[in-house]
Amino acid sequence: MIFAQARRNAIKLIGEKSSSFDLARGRMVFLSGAFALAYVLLAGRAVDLAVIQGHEAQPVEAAEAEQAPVVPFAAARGGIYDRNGVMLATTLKMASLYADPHLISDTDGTAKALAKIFPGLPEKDVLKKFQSEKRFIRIRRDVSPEQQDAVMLLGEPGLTFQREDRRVYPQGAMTAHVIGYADIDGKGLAGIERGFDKILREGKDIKLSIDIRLQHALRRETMKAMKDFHATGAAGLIMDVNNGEILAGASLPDFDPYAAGDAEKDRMFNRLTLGSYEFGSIFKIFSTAAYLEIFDAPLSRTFDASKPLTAGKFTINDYHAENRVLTIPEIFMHSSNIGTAMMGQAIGEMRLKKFYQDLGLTVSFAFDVPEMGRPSLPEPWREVNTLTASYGHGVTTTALHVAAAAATIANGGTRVTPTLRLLEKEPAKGDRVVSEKTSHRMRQLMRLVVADGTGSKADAPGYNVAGKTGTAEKNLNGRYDSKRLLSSFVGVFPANAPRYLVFIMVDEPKPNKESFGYATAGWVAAPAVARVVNSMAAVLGIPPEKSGAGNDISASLRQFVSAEAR
Amino acid sequence: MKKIRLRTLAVLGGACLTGALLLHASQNVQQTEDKLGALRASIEREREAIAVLNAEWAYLNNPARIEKLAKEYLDLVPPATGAIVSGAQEIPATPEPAAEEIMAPPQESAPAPQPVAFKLAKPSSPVSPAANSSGGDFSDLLRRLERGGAP
Repeated sequence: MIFAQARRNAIKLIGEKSSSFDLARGRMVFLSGAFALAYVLLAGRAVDLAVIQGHEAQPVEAAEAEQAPVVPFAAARGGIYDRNGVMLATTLKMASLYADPHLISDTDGTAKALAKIFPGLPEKDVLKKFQSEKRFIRIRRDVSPEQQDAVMLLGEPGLTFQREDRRVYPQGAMTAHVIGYADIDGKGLAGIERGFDKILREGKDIKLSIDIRLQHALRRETMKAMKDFHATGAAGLIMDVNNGEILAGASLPDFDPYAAGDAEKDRMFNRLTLGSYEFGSIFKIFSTAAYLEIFDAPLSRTFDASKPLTAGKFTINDYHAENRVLTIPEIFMHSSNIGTAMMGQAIGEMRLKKFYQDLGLTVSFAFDVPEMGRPSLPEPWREVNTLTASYGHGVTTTALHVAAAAATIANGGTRVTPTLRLLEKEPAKGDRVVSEKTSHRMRQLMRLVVADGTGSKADAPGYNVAGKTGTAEKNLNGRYDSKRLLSSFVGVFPANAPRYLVFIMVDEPKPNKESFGYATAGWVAAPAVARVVNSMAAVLGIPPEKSGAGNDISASLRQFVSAEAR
Repeated sequence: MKKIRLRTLAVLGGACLTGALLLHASQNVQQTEDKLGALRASIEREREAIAVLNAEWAYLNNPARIEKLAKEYLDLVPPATGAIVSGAQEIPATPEPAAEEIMAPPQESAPAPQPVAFKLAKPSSPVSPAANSSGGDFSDLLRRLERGGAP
């Protein structure tokens, strides 16, 4: 019945108002057509995205997933590693506890609870912080996960955590002066941290030439020498003689890199690179090499060391004088100032200065560690300065300079540039400073010092150590103090084809019972070098060589050394 | 009328079906995105944990610490000079047994084996991983070590 009525109404529409019905119908058709078209387009796009581009996207997905995870807005500070990949410095994310005092309901109770969770944190300090007007105060840095859980359990909405970067030094004070330290904001303030600050900020890692095992051995023995002789300071260096890589570098006393800001100035002072000292007899390596190189003198040449040498109002004496005519090997092994000064006289001011310059001893240079000292030459240079400069007085330079120059003489005669960074490939040979012949003869002389001379305590059997002692009186306020010495020893091994250089210097050693009242380099620094060489051999697996005259390059020099007892 | 209703129904049904499928796909995408976000976060946490463990490994392998522990628990010391030789030929040969010992007559009867009492040695201080080794303050541990305390 109802359908019939509806039909009649529809027919009525068609009959009478068909035009408006047509219009309405037309509009509906148009609209539905438009919607249909829109949906068709959407469907087509969906198919396009899901099916067609889906097939293309598949291999990209896997690669993207590898690199996509969190590209940090600012890259974390790069790590510092030793030559074998041992971590020396790294950046870790540590949680720091922050508080919003306005949101803390019970300040006393919360302060008490926090003081209980953090043992080093006094309750009144926390309360003071809660009184502050600021909305965001740091309560504690470097919160461990257990402490974090404990704080969360307090249920205090005013306490929040933020993750911050923190510089961590797993080796602690062992590499203190080499690595240096960075401040809270990740800015390098000393050492490698400062020298390579830019690269580290970019997030790149740095590999040093340091070997942490050798670093430990060197620091241990240098510390022992310093403690045994109650010295005010000491420094040590292990260097590859051929390419200048520094395998270990220590300056004592050193500091805790986590508390560097509070350390005493003396601890922060880098005695290896910043301290400029008169090294005394160590310089005889350089002046003797200069003499041999310039004059190509036979080793049998003699100098009269029977009387002290006078130059103006200065008198040059020998320590434990031989009081006789000495050959060049004897001058070197007994460390005669008189003999060396005579050689220096023959070389002359100009040539001696130039030779020291060629060895790099006279100017400071840019190094991986920014704390560098300035060498100094006597100004004005008088005739007596040529004499004293030949045995290392009047001229100041840093330990690093001395080690590099000694390496230059010992490695065949080509200039060595010290580096703390691991070398990717062997560097080009440096400029030639002395001939191979001079270098070989210097090695023979240095071996003689250890085999039979002032450096006999530096001998490590089987490792053919060659070197030179240097006991310098320190110059304070223009006067030399015979009670304050700088005792050092530079050694290279194996003597016939040196690979490594070990340098140890001790600042103001005091004589002790075991050394029979001596604080000279032969008693203080040389034994430390021998111990370091033994440790190096064990760690690096260097097999010992047969000891004995057959293998001793100084054997051919014995003919120039008289067997006269002192 | 039946025809119209069937077509309408069909279209409506198709619309509902499409809507349902669309909703399903949209939910799927959202869930996958959430999963991806969670995975990325957990990867980042793992990376941080690895970094912490690497730093801890380096700290525990500090040569000074190893030397101290080796001396205390293993009685190891640096080798004496002459302890390292360059080849097998350097090792001294075992001495010959004395001639008398070989010529001695065998004993009447071997001595009866005595039961040996072994005393269980108590370790002085067992090496146990530090209580808060995972994420404890390195400087605290370092300071304790420098003072000569337990690792």
